[in-house]
Amino acid sequence: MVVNIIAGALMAITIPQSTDTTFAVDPGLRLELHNSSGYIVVRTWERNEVRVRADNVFRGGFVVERTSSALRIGARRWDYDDDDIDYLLTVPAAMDLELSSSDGDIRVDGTAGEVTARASDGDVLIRGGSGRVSARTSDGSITAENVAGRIHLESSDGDITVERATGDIEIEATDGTVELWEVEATSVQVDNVDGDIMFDGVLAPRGSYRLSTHDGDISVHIPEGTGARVQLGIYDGDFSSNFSITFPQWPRGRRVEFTLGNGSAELQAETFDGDISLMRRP
Amino acid sequence: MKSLTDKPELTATEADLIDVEFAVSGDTQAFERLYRRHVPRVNSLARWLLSSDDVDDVMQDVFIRAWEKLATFRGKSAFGTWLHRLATNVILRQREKYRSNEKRGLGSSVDVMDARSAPMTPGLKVDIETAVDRLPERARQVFVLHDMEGYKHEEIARELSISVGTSRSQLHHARMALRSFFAG
Amino acid sequence: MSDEWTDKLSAYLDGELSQENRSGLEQHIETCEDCRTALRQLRDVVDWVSEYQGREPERDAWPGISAAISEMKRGVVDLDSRRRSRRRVELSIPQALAAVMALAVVGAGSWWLARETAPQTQMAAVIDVSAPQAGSTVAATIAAAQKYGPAIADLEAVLLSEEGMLDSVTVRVLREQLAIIDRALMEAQEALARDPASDFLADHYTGMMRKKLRLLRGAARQVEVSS
Repeated sequence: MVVNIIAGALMAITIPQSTDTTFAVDPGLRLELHNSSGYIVVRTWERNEVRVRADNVFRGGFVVERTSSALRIGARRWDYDDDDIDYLLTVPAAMDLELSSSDGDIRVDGTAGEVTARASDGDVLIRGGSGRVSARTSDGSITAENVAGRIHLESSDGDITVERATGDIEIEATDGTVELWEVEATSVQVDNVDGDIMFDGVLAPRGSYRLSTHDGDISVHIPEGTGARVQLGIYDGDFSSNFSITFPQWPRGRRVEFTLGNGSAELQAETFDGDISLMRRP
Repeated sequence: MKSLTDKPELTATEADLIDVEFAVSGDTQAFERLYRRHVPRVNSLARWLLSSDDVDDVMQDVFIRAWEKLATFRGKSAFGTWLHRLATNVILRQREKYRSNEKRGLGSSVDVMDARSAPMTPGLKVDIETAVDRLPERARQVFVLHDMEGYKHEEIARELSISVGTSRSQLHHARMALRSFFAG
Repeated sequence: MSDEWTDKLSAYLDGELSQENRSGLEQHIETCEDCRTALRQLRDVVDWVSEYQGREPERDAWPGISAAISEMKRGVVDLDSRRRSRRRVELSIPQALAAVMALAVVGAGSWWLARETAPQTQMAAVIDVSAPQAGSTVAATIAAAQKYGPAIADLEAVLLSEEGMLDSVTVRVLREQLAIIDRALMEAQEALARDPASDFLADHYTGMMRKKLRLLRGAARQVEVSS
């Protein structure tokens, strides 16, 4: 049975153990889900419906509210020791998502819309996503696959992995490894402090790529024939490459510049304590 | 082969400490004694946290890593405690390799009920270890991590990607399912 | 035996019930035989598994372990690097196949030649080594300190007084991040003291300060949201 919930209405779902409710939604509606504790898993389908399956451990419930622009789902706090709710949602593929959980993972699979995911103590996994994809977690890893658009990923304590992405990528990490695989972005900015950076991808003409870490290695894998102006900075570490580059004496703690091919893109790689390697993709 | 640590007057803990000292200096036979003493529990830990197919490789990985890290054992806790922590880390990392195939359980209170009331062949005595084997995966993992290895619910939640509340309830369900072995 | 109380037995056993619930349960237990029994049995379960010595494995893993240890002693096997290199191998296998096929097309004789000559790529040349004017870099660092210092100090003070508004995970992670960034700042500062003319070090230091500021601002915003 599909439930219709009109704009401005608020519906309280109170269930003993679990529920399975499907709501009809108009295209263009955004989904907002704020979970205080518990995981969120989102899958997609082609229907204009949102299916909510929730498993809450004790006798709490959740509330569904329909505004003019969003379908909002939130926990309802009861006076019990635990009110965790684990959500499994199936939503229209094009639906924009705004998800947050203080204590639990967030996983989104197969979306084509915008995604904003905020976790405090949990991992974030996003497959798909376009337009704007933003994920942040304090203590957990972030994985983004097959994403396109303006991508912003931030983890304080955890690894960040991006696979097959296009668009503009901004990554902020403090303590973890950042890996970008098969990336065809027009701009990439990675700021890390205590961790390695691994970039494997294509440098677009006139694209801008900046990889910076304090205590970590940076390895860059780009195709033969890449055109880029490359600037490197290393304080305490080595540089290696299988591109044909000759250097004059390279004083410690100073930047070096050289050109590959037509020098169209801009690549800047800097580490205080670590090695940098620049390799041709096999 | 008889060794210093086979003496009956030594407690297991003392024997462990001596064998660790020998093993750190490269004595493989001392390390084998540690292995033999601790492998049963590490084996059960691995079997219960993973499906039984994966255990062989993991057991090797656990003890190879223990050999590598042996010098970091300071003797502040019992060797068994140190080894189990290391083993749990290795085993949980192995779990991640197979995670994509794992179905995310949506709370198995119903499953636990079924396991408890599953029709059993009359006359066939099921020992408690088999009962733990038969617990639903999530409940068993939480039970093992919490009650066997002393993990806190926050740590378990993080390792298994579940909420703290789910961890608490799964633990409770597992314990309740096993309590019939202590009836009377 | 009511569900309301049985659900709480495990939490009670682990000392995790709130004061109110604990008193309520203890009161109930005094009058409920079933709950008393259940509690005793749960204790027995916990006692059993914490002392459980385990079961011998079906296959003895020692031969494999012993072999690996021998290899390690010979300096051959490094578990970590074996794991780290796995990922790269996975990625390059299809490209490696393509490379092999390309070589096959070139022909046996020229393959040998191809190995010996330099790979065909644009010859890169070093254009310049950034040689900043001495003194300008020190000035940049001072400017950074002046620009960000007060803002950072203010935010730190706010967070110190409002720490209670944030959950324990956030506080812990924030502290760890600050410790990591402060250590990085200190290392950059020390390096800059030894080489005050380095633009790279000055920019690096400034970048870390900005990151610290972003971090503190983010935490301050969270405090606002929680209050």
